[in-house]
Amino acid sequence: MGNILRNKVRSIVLVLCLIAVLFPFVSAISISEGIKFQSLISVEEGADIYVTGDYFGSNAPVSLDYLGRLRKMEGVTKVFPRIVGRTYFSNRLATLVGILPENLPKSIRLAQGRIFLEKGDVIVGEGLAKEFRIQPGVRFSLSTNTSKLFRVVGIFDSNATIWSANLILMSFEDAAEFFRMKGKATDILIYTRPGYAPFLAKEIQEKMEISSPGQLEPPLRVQDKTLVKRYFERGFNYKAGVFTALYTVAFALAIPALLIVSGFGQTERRKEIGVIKATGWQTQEVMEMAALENLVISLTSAPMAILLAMVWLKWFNGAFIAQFFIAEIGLMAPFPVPSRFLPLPCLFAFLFAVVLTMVGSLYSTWKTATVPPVEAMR
Amino acid sequence: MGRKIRFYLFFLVILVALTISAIALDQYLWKRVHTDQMVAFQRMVGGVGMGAISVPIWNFINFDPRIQPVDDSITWPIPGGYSYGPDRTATISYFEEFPVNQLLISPSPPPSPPSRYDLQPRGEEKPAYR
Repeated sequence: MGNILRNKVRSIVLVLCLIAVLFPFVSAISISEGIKFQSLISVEEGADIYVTGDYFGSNAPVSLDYLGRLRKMEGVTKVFPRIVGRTYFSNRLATLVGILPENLPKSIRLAQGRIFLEKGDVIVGEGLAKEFRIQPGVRFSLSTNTSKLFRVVGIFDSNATIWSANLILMSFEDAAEFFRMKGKATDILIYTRPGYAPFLAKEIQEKMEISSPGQLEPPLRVQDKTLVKRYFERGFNYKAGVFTALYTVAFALAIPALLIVSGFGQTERRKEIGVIKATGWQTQEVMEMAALENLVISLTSAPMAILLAMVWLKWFNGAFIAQFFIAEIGLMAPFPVPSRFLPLPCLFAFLFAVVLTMVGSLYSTWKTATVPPVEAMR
Repeated sequence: MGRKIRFYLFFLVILVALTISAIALDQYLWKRVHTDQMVAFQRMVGGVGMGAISVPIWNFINFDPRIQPVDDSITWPIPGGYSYGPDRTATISYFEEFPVNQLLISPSPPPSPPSRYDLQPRGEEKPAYR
């Protein structure tokens, strides 16, 4: 402990380096956990089965003619079509969603305005509203179909999800008119009784096409909740794992390399080890001292990095750094950046700091401690 | 033990305690987070959005693989191995297409459905040359 305080500059530089290394790591993992939480709600509250067309191997619009037949299937509780598209709102890309008006819950809380009631009414995300200073009552049209005039009647609460920030919600009919795709939906959402979904998915896939062999419609792609959960699990765990692994390898190699190349504080360190060896310390004791120092340095830097990440993400809403982890949000996120600090990644950050400092110093300490004290002090 | 060391130890204890408390508080707040808005929104739209991206740039797979589980941008002929859709650069989520076995190999050709010639009454077959 005394050594750390004696070599103030070296200790401060080391702590700052570790904070710089751990801060993005802790931020990335906590944002990942926050988005995972929201994503899981999206999966759980979504439909049990999604039916789309399949044009040349990609998803394609599906005919509304299927609605009646799907509704009649055993175990189906609700079927409704949906349109999900993309369009530019001025220079900002937006997700456009069209749903049946009867799907609008009365419990939905909007930041401003009301839910849509008439043709042409839309609710826009808070990100779009803030950027373009949109208020309820504003009328607009988009270049994809300039003949279609919309009126903003509500603005989503930014606490909904990160995906509602740049979203335009309208009635299914309006969305079909806007994209000029009458009689088609991007997907048909099917809700089933518990336990029916896998069987129904199989039945739809097998029977729906065979029952109408002369049809001109393309084949169907059926995705059930089990498959969607697999997307979720692999999409987050795999990528977060890859990120962690790459990060660990990159910095585990970079920090000792930097220390070796710069030789920062090595002369003083050598002299110090030479002196304590001359006063009768054994190599093992010197190594123990170095390990303890590293432990204290890690114990100082890891909590500081965690607290800094917490303050930056919670109070400053991840300004400037959130865009590295959530694409297309700009310098200042238009919604509360979700961040969740779980104990395990924080513990991992501490262990990460311990490993980095140990790798960076133990070998050089041992090398110095095994030479005669006179040579070390020279 | 010197005064400075005692002060540093005290600082360390406070720092660790503060961090543990902050993590515990965050855990508590997430448990009590008002998910009703998220749930209501997702129920209303039938589930939109899964990945760490706010809008679907280039393709939908990283935004929501339910809407488009196929990354069609990788099929675009860009010479030089350009890293395709920019939304694939998202660092904390990455959705990829699941391979589906569509190959069916039969030991013998499956029985073909009856042709229109088979359904015609005997004696009315059309000659092969027509």
